[in-house]
Amino acid sequence: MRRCWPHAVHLTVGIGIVAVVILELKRRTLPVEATRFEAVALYWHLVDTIWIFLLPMLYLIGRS
Amino acid sequence: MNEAGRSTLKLWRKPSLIWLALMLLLALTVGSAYIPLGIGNGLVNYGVAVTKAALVVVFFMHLDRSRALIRLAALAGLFWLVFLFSLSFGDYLTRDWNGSATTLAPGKKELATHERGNFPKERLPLVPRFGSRD
Repeated sequence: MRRCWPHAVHLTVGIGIVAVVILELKRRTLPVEATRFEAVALYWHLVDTIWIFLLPMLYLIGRS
Repeated sequence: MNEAGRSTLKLWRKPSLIWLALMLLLALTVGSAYIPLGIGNGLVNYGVAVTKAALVVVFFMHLDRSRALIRLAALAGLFWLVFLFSLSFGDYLTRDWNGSATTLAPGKKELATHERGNFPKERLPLVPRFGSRD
């Protein structure tokens, strides 16, 4: 558990930049086709993929 | 339905279906975790995890409509990860102080301090051993 803090840092950064992008899209200051929009989405999915493997390792192991 | 509505529906349809598949796989993995299957629990859990990761990477990260060079770059990353994980787990899971998959040598009752890396005896093993040797 203690070694999960890097994932928490990635997640915090992800929530921050996703929030900024949502705000920019709402204000229409960022076009949907922008490379930055795609890069933020890719980063978010990367963190998600890591979580997909952390879930069974941390929470599902030894349940039965 | 007007043109904008149709294009919105088209935009949301595929991601929603993939999201639904991800939720079903999540239900499968959480549900099966409470059923005692022995080594099967690990197989189901990590099998489902690999499937979910493949769905995210292929569809959400748009590898399904990427150029060959980009797919190749993603595959190279995956290939490198396989090296890192197989070497790390090959090391950790065969060490006795970490509750290794291997068993103690015949006639050997417990580990010396240097073999368990200064871990207190009552905290060993850190991960469950595969199968029982008791």
